[in-house]
Amino acid sequence: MRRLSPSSFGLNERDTTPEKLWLERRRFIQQSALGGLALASGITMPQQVFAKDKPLNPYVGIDFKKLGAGESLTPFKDVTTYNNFYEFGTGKGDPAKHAHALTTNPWTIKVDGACAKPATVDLSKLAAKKDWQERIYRLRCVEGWSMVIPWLGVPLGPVLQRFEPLQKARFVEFQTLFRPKEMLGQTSGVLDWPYVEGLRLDEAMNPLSFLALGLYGKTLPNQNGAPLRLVVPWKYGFKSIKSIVRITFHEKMPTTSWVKATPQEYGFYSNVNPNVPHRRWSQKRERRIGEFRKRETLLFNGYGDYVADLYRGMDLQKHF
Amino acid sequence: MKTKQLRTFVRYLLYGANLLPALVLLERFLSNNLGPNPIEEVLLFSGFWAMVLLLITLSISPLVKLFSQGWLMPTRKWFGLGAFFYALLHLCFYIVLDQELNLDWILEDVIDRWFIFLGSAAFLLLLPLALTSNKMAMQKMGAKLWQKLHLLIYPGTFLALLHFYFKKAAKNDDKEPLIYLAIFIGLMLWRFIKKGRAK
Repeated sequence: MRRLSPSSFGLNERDTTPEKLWLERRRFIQQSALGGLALASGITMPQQVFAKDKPLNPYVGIDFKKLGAGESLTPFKDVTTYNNFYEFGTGKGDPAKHAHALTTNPWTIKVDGACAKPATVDLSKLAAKKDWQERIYRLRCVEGWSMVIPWLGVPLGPVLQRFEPLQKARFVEFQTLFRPKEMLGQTSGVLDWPYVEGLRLDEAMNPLSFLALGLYGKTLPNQNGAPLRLVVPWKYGFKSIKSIVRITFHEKMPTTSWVKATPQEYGFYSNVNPNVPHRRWSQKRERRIGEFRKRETLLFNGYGDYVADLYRGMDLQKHF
Repeated sequence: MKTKQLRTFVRYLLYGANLLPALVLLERFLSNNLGPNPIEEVLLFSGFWAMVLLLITLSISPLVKLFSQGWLMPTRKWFGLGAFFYALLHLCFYIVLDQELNLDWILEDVIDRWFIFLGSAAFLLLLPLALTSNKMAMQKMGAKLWQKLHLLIYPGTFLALLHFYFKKAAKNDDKEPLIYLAIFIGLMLWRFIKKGRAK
């Protein structure tokens, strides 16, 4: 049997993959918006009202300003003095104490693996300052605390697409800088350095996935992952890898640092989920920094409307 | 006579030293200097001093015997009580501040979280020691039984250190708890060796 490949239509891989992902995303957003509307008005509407083959921008359907509405921001001082960044020590105050040693200029990012246009690019080329936008996201740490942070940066999906991931690429891996001379913690054996994190490509293309270069209107302080970090707000904080120097597209799921260190405690997905306890503690509740009493933790950190579709049909107890 | 007075003075100074961490904690609380996560901070702080004072308590008799300074012996009781005071503070912070007095949460925690279970067990082992630390209890029980009961400090301390180890190990960072465990093992080894020689 002859298999149809994208090239049979006179297209190369870069013409297809991103758009397919975009369309899937768009369809989901349409459906969820429509679902809400139908529920509210008590009527059902045919799905076909939306043109199916028209390329649509998945970023149009979301009002990002609304995502942070009703949340009070965690004070700048707390956001920048209470960090987990083991490259600078395992204490919460260590990063703020030691991260000043890190040189973030010049900074280049190597993009390679299963993509049509691998390249090593300068940070300013990857995300020019004029394109930065603000996103207010909740951050839920796997340890049971949370914050609300106004990030500055660019959506991840369009950045990745510039390197034209091949159709066979299903995962994207991120790597933190390895420079023990400046990153004290890397001389210890707490983790296997450099730190590695990853996403499924469709997760990475989700409109919520974000590359942050700043917070509170300023460029990122070193202890928060300068000069470039990932922000995936529906996953536990450790997925949002800091000080990124390499991005690699893969066919197979990469082995991320915490999965490598303690596979029985940490999974690749690590979606915020109150129903799946950590092996050593419950994830039902969290302490919002600055608040006295604990809050209930929300499934997908409250971003289910935007991301739940990514995991349809998956057993979240198994794929934790 | 002069040495005796000096020794008494030093002893009282050491008894008082027990309270220093609590004063530091109070000062940090009053000056709003407990950091972004104050509840976590007071838990770590009280737990740390409970462990350290337990290890100091266990060091007194080796020190006394190695350096023949019998006059230091009474400090052991007060360091032991100090350790219990911080353990009690730790437990209260946990129940009131961390678990918000919610019995269901606490029960779930003790059952599901191995290190919480260990910490609770450690506290229960140390509790009778604190309750019988007065002369009256000692006389009522008789010296032999009393001494036997107070052997509980060894498993109590061990469980407290394990409690910290398993809490920390979750962060894949066990250097600090391993140092405490090594000190504990050293103190125990000294006791075994001495006992062996006495026979």
